[in-house]
Amino acid sequence: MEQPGAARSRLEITTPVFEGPLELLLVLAEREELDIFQVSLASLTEAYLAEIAALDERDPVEMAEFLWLAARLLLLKSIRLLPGEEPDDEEADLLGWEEDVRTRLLEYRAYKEMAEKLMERAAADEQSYPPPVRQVDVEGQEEPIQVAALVKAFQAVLARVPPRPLVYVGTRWTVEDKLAYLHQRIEKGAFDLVDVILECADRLEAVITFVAVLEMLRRSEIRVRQEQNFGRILVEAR
Amino acid sequence: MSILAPAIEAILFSSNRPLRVRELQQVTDTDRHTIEQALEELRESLTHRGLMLQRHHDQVQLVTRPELAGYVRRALRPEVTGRLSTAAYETLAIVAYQQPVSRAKIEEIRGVNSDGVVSNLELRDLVKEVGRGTGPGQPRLYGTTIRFLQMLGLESLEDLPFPDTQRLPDQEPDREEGEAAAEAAPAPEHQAAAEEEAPSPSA
Repeated sequence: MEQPGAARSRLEITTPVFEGPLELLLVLAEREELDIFQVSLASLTEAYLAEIAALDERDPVEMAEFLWLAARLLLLKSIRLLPGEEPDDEEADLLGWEEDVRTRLLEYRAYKEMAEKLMERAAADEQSYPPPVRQVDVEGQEEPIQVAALVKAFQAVLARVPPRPLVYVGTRWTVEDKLAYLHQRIEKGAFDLVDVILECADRLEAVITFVAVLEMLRRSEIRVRQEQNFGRILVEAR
Repeated sequence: MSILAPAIEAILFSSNRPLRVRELQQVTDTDRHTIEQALEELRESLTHRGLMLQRHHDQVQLVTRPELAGYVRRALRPEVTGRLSTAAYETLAIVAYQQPVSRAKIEEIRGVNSDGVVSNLELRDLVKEVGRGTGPGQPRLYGTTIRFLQMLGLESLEDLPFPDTQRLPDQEPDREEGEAAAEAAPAPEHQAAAEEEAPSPSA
């Protein structure tokens, strides 16, 4: 993800004309009602070039993928136009490549069809609903707490806590202090993990608070529950 | 009918999450075979009921029957989740039939970077990381979740719309240069549906 901006734009484009060169090629072949087993990809060159010329401004990385395929198609076509010559190694490679692309097109098309079936299924809107989350746990069968998920949630919140101030004010936090504080707090009832993190004055305090929560978890003093995805992460006494 | 099937029904009914077959084995103090038999009994006994036994790899849960979804919605107005894009369905199809599968493989099949789509599906709890591959860099491998079955109202992965295997390249007998090409893009093996145990998540 060296280009977070580009990745985001890809997410936002929900109905792009073509998701990638492979999809474009497939659409073209089907538009011409060509049998992918038989078709020479070179015969699709003109249509392919016309389509990418018509594409709106795209992310250069994505555009490069389209252009790379265009270059291969042109080369392939030029070889086809000059029959009789012994193909050299590079050209033989290219013919193998054509076969390879054909195979990939077939595989891609099969998955596209499956995707359509899934879409139809989802469109029927016949969900199956699980029971609502309730307070009954199966004896001793609590699902192992996903610490990785907690850390992820913590990192997401951390950005909202102010960074360490430039002027050092001499406040020091220790895990012991935080443990004592959290013990007091939990006596009054369950609390939201995000709340205690956001109450911190700076990120160092936030990190220490989080470490204290993990420590309490390790000592089995608390348990952490999330009632539903994206819901509140509740810390409660065991 | 043994007492085990209704016992499992009771446990699943009162559980706040899907349970693993292993957990049912432990709490009922039985072996794998007995539990599987009881689950099958329970599944059959629910045939004309409003609930069904949903199974995703080794997870089981009681859920409402998909054909009754309309009634449930009218009564409870559950949250409606946003629609998925075509790209998302393509990716879901690949994960569902190829699982466990790496992002690289998904990208290879779709011919376009799919990181964003996979992350989105992960956020919606439709796919999740189920382990690590053995290849270079030990790539994350993705599989479907029980939520995926719920969204589509499927009893198990075996109820996925049947893929038209005729059209998969591997099925074509008279193809030239077939070997090299097949190696470059192996057709999916539809083993996911038959798999009993989910690959153990990297803890």
